Amino acid sequence: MVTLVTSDNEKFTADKEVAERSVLIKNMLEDVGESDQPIPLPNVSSSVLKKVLEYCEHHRGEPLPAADADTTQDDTRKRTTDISEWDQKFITVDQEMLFEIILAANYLDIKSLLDVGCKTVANMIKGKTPEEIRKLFNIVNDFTPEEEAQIKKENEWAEDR
Amino acid sequence: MARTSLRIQDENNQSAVSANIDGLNSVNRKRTTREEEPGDLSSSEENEDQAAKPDKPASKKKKKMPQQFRKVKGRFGLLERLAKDAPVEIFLEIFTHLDPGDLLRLARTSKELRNMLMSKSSESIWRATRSNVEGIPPLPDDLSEPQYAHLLFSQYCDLCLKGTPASPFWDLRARCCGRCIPELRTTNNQVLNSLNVDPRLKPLLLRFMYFKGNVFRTGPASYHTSSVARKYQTEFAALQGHDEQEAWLQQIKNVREKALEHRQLCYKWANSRYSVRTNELKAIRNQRKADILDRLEEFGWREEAELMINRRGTDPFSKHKLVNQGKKLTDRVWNNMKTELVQMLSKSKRDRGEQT
Repeated sequence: MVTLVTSDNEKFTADKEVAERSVLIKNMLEDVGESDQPIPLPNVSSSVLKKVLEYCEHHRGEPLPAADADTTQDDTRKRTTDISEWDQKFITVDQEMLFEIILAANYLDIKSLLDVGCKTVANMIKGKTPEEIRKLFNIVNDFTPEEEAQIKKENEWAEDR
Repeated sequence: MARTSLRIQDENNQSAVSANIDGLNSVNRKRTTREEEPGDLSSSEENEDQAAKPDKPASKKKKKMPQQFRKVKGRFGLLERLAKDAPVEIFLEIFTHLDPGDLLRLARTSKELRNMLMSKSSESIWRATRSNVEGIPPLPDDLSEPQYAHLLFSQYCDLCLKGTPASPFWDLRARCCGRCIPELRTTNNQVLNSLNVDPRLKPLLLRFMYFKGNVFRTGPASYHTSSVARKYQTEFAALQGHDEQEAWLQQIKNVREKALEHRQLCYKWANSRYSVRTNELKAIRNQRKADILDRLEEFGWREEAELMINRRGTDPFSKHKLVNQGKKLTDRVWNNMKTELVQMLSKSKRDRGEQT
């Protein structure tokens, strides 16, 4: 068992196998060797860690992507924004939580979870008009109507200034 | 040219007016939502939907929104927070799951995103998104990534900027709606005549500029872009000597050949995309009809509906505007439509009774 301490000082215990789906934790455990010392995670709050552990628990035992899998895997990974049914349900959270999960997955180095998070955001953007994207993400439209018409005509790299 | 800019000005004025109307609305909105979050810029947007339908209680509407589409309380939305507070790789990772058309539309949402995406340093993202699109023809030499995305994915006329279902003139790298084509013809003919074109260049220019065919069922239409004509005329005029000119002409001919080859690929790609989409829509329509029939069964109206479907020659049920839609049937939609449908079915039953 591994003890994890969140930013708000809550303690979580998890099976080593589950916690080690985080490459960060795995490396930390390898560094300290056999020890009961709790692992501090100052960048992750308890509500987020709870979600992350739920994810790791569900995917326990699945093969982890190799560290150098980036190049070989990318092709198939990027071509699809399909998310498995369980993952989809899991990631159906508000935008605040989605943001926190993405940050945590990045910090804890859980590639598959980061992937699910990024795909989810991508799916939210897909096929939407600029106005719909603005609405969805609270983006303030800082173009004047004249500029808006102008940029529809300009589809070229901006000049390097 | 002057005509074009006038039209655009006109459109700008219109959008300015609608922006003003928006402004007025948001004043009203603030009054109703003030207690929620004073000083919060986003709250007026967040409540837009609710304000539009004042007779629906706000809380009820909110519950129906899927969670991930609910907006974050606070000033910044998810994308901005990711851009500001997350490592830039995450942002890029998200983008690589999109298609080039999505990138282009993102680049039209705000100045910040535009500066980021339209910078040449983002070229690799664009390239990555192209690989997400099945069967996409390769990037031609004469277009940049965003220009190509515009050609393949935008859905508005390059001249009047209004939405159009017209597919582009692929080899001419332009999309033009049916209304603008005749106008283009006259102005561009004038341009061509006003250009003092070398006799060796003219046939080439014409081959380049003209699109002949039965477009938009308005009879033969020709289309050519004055900007391209001008560009080539200027380039040609700057050349020194016969040999140089011949070499240039040959080079342009090659470019033209390539563009024509590429056009074939684009045709194929667009057609297969179209048929995929058509099939998708067809499947959704059929599913919607089946779902409606299932729900009608609960009310005891399935039989009548099926009688309508099997009515010889016509099928007024499947063609009904509530049934024949490429949208999934949800509980809310069903609740809104069921009275009208049942009314229609009972009328059909009455009519049938009168006939027999």
